[in-house]
Amino acid sequence: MEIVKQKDGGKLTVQVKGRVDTLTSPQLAAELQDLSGVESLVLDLSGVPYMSSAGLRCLLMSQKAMMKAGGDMVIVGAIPAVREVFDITGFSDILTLA
Amino acid sequence: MFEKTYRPTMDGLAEAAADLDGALAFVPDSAKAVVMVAADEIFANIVRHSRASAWTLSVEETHDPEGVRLTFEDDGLAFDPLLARDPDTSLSAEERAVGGLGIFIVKKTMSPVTYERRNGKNVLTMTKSFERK
Repeated sequence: MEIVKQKDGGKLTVQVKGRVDTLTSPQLAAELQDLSGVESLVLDLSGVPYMSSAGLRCLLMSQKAMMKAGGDMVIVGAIPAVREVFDITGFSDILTLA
Repeated sequence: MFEKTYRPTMDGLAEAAADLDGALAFVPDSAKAVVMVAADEIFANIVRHSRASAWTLSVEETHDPEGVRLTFEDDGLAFDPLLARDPDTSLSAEERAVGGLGIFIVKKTMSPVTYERRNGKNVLTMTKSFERK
């Protein structure tokens, strides 16, 4: 998995490339651990072919952290296979998908 | 048909994921993605919780309907994942628990999913049907 982060003031864009599963999710969790000073988090998942529940866990933790801090989190570029998992788990309702 | 036995470690999981990716070459991309997701959930359960000494993954093509069937066998603690209670997917982000979603995803995306305890082993099968465009 490859993760590219770009910070622009209070906006942090995180581009994820590769599958997000049991093996790779610890890397994503580590990259999203410290969100201090971030008002707007954009997660670009256009390069993610699939995401298992291990990845959902990372997204939920980030979403909770951003809500607690009064910021917002937006997911962009999720392909249909990834959206399907969001829909099944109800994550489509708790995440902001653009 | 593909069949291989792995160690119940993260290295074993990595090897199985790579092998499965290759074994699913005949499956269309969209179906392949959900099979990889479902398999990851079962791999993780076996490696983290089963205390098995080894586990085996089999992959076979099915016909009428066209699809793929995966079988997972481990000699660990008896555990029927299908008995796990489904998470409440209508809760808000604050109320949602972190975890418990894996088996739910398997049950929702694969059909049928079967479990049996056979000769001291957990045997789980899951099938994904698909149509070729």
